[in-house]
Amino acid sequence: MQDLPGKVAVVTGGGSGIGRAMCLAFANEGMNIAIADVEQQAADKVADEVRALGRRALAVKVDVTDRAAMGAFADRVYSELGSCDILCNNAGVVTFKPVQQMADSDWDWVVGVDLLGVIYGLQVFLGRMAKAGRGGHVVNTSSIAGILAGATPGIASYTTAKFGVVGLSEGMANDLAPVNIGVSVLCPGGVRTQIAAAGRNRPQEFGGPEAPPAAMVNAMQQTGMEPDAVAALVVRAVKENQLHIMTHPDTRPAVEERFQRILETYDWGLAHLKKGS
Amino acid sequence: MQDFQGKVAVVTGGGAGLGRAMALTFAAQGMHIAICDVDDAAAASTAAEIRALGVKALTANVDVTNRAAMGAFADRVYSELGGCHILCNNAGVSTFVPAHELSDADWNWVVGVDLLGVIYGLQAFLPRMIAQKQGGHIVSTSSIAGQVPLQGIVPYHAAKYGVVGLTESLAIDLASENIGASALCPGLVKTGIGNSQRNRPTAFGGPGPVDARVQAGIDAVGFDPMDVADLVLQAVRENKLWILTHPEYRPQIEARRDRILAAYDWAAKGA
Repeated sequence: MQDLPGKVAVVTGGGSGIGRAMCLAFANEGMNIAIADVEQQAADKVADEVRALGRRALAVKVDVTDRAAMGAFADRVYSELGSCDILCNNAGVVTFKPVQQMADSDWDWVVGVDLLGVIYGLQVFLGRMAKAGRGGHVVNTSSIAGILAGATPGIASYTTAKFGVVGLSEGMANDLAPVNIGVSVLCPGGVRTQIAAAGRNRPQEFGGPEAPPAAMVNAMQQTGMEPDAVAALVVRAVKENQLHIMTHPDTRPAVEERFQRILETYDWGLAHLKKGS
Repeated sequence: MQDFQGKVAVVTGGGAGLGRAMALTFAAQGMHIAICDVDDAAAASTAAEIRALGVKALTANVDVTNRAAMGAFADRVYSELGGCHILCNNAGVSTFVPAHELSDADWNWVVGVDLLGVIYGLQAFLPRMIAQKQGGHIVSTSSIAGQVPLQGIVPYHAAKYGVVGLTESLAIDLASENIGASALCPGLVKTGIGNSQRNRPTAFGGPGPVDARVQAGIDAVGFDPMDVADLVLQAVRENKLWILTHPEYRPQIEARRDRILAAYDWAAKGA
């Protein structure tokens, strides 16, 4: 997608972190921006920043796990901004616990936000984007944890959801080419965001707020990539229809190693099948 | 895991297809088997085949998207068979619809059965498997569609990639419990998955038309489920993380690897 000025970008989790950076990057490209976030104040603040760039902005308090609220958000985007041309399914949370210690609500909350939230975003926007017939682009925020497990242990629910986001993105890229909708999946390592403190906004029905793990929060702040640098890559990926956005070169050896292990296991299985038949 | 005799394997979707084949394969190793399925007749028929091998069989009508029913199933398995050593999260369905034409119900059903069903299986059984301190193994049925992208099955990709990621994480977290994990990633197998609409619950849009074309393709070139189950057994013995069966997809996995690695170069180019 080349022609961004005057079009509309929708960003879930747009109030902070990578979401905020994408809002501002797309606004800098001349786009109007719709922001959904669980923190109304954060969303309003980003909307002000977007308006200061001379674009229109809509800020709505939405929990992406609430399918009805997502539907109402899409209605407002279409009635107030007129379309959705770039959909960024970005809202994300994480907990850090080995699977032995995970409560049902740890699974439900992380998979609910990080995967079902993306699916609900697709349910409410994608059909309308395809019907509008003017093409577009979908950016789904996954993680390096959507490509391989083990970069950080104790995040099984996050890995599950983020792998799912990579899978649906790769499949969508195949399905949506005929309707001229591009797809990118963002797979960063550490970024200077508040995701490690996502428990601050954990709703009661998913177990309620939890104290942020200070060490993880600090690590993200001290060693994380700048969200603006990530968002710049996202804009380029939209323009060039780049499917995978691999931001952190230091994660590359682990990716190569994972595929090597898969191929070795593949050969082990094929040898066994041949022997048996 | 080496020692199967007298232990218990649990298989969701165990009435037919890959589930039935895994149930019979583990029964042939002397394991007692608990199967759940949404199809009572299929479950009863598989249970009879299991009992003919001289081991115990328990059946339950469970929809894996119903967490409470999965919990009640686990209660029965532990009270009637006394444990769970191999958990096969296997039940699976699919639709064949392009991404922009999917209904909400298509998404909810496929992700509900193929991913949330696996998670509910873990929630119901894993804490007890850990507490019983006898080790074990978790086999989750993914698909080659959990490794490489195909056409018209986006919700299936979401679920099946998710199952692969889940399994890779389980293997890391559960190594200290002596519980292994494998993700089964086959291509086409002679099963009824092309007809899975036959059992689609009303809550997820109700039974749909069977896609005869899809099922005919599966019947024509699909692997024998018993061959796949034999490899599952071997993977449990040797604690293999992935179970890949169909040689024709190996180049696609290499192509996906190369595409992802090229994406690193793409990102560096603009820096």
